[in-house]
Amino acid sequence: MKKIILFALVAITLASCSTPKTMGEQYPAMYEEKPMSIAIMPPINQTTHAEAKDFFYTTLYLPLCEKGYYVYSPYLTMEMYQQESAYDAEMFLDKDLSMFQKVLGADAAMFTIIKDWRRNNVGGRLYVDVEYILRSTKTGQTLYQREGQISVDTSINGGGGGFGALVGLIATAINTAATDKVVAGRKCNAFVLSDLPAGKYSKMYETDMKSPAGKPLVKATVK
Amino acid sequence: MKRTIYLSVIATMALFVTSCNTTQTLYTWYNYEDVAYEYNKEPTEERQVKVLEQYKKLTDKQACMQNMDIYSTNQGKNKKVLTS
Repeated sequence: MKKIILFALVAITLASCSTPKTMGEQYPAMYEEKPMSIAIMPPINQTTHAEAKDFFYTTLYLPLCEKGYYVYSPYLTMEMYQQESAYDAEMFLDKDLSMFQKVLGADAAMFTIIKDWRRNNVGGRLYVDVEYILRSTKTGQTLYQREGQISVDTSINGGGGGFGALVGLIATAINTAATDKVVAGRKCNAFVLSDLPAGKYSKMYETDMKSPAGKPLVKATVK
Repeated sequence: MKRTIYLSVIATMALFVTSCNTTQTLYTWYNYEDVAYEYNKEPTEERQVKVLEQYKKLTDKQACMQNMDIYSTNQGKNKKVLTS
């Protein structure tokens, strides 16, 4: 019995001592290629919510700029994609991307796959599940890949007692219905892209290599 | 006793100062996200004008740039570069 306990303690200690991967180890291609400019591809929508694609597309510009990258204006690129029949990013997900370098001058293309985009009025939750894939337009290799499963808690506490619970339920349903789903999308961007190595316009450029990297799948509930 | 109170005050103040730290952004975004989203939801000409105005404001009135040298090098001489 003593041996088992000792073994368990050693196992726990070892598990807790394991060091997390650094950004340089997790995303080596980012530090090798050092992309400066990013073209945001129209999101790949795997949900039944048709509006998610266009709504989510505009939310990516700000966080990527804030990370220190030169990002092509979504309005200009979207117009170009529609004219050149490139609106469906599925066609390019695993194909040659050199045309984006030739036409736009982009070093990398950011693909997003929307896997979940819904609202639960009674439960007071907004759910989004988005996968982010940054691919090089020069080599075609994946530079960065991460997924975020984020739920936004929009519940309101109506107070104690039976009446309070009913008030809370109604208030939660109203608050959830009134909260735009894009809020969850923005929060997902913030969570997932926090782990993206900094670009050239950031003060953190090339200094975050030793920083601990997050997990490839981020699950979080935010208020 | 006085020393303990003095140290506690300093510790509290330090905690206060660190918790008051606001997240510094690289750029000033004004109302870009909301204006862009509204236009996307309902693309009218009026909203398109608002989006373009936002873009102009973003490029002309940047007050939060941290990386001035790179920005001025890449954006050319015509851009008004403000110190943060």
